[in-house]
Amino acid sequence: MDRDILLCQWGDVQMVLSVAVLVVSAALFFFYIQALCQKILRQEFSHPYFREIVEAVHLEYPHLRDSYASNAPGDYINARLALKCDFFTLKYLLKNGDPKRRHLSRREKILMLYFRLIFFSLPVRHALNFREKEGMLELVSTLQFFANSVGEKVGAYSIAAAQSQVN
Amino acid sequence: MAFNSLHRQIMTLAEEPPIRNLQNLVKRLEVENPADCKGLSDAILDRRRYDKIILDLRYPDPLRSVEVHGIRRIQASRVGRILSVTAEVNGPKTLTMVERYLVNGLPAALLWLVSHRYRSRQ
Repeated sequence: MDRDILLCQWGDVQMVLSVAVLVVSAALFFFYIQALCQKILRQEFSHPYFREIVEAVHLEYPHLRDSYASNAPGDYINARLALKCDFFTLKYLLKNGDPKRRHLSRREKILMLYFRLIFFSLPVRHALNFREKEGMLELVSTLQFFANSVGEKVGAYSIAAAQSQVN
Repeated sequence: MAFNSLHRQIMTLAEEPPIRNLQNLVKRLEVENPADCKGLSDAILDRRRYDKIILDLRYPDPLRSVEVHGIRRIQASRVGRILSVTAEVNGPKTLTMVERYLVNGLPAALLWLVSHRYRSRQ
């Protein structure tokens, strides 16, 4: 009888240990992913390519960055939507802008995974009011990296600007 | 492929029929109101210069100008081999209307989109 109780307790301890190992492993995984992504995001481009892409495609993330940086965030739902649309657009341009290089680089793939992880954590951050601004700014800097990558790969040409120069 | 919400819709046009429908829509709009298109139809008609189109439609709330057509302030840029077209629409219903016209080619939708009397919010 005592032996059975001891075995049962040992089983519980083993389960708690397994869960603890799983939690620590997951936390370490996310920590390494974050460190890796921040290292990639710190990379400097030779030229601010993002400007011409933002202007050409009318991306909304620079306005979001300004409003969050000045502590005057707008509507959360609209901000989330703008980020999602900008991400969709930039991903499409990265994949299809240059027909000779349709694949994404390893860095871009990792950053896309990182963007999705933070993006899906936004509702929780918003509900708990926990580091929402930091999350938004992280998403914005990821989008800026994508815009720089698109600009570096293919460049942009505004037809309206060209028309006004001709006129 | 399309991604949409109440205030914004992004469509990617890769096949010929929807691209032709967009060309037709821009040509009609240019006839009705040249200021909204800024000589855009030449860029859209020159099919050799791009492979696909990404169309980003926005419904700004509140509207910055008086409603005239279903679509206005159309602007285009080439990003590599992609033609990026952005435009403003006059209401959430117009987003669905544009998709119906581009994907299904419904002529009635085109007539509504270029009509002066169309009010999407009603």
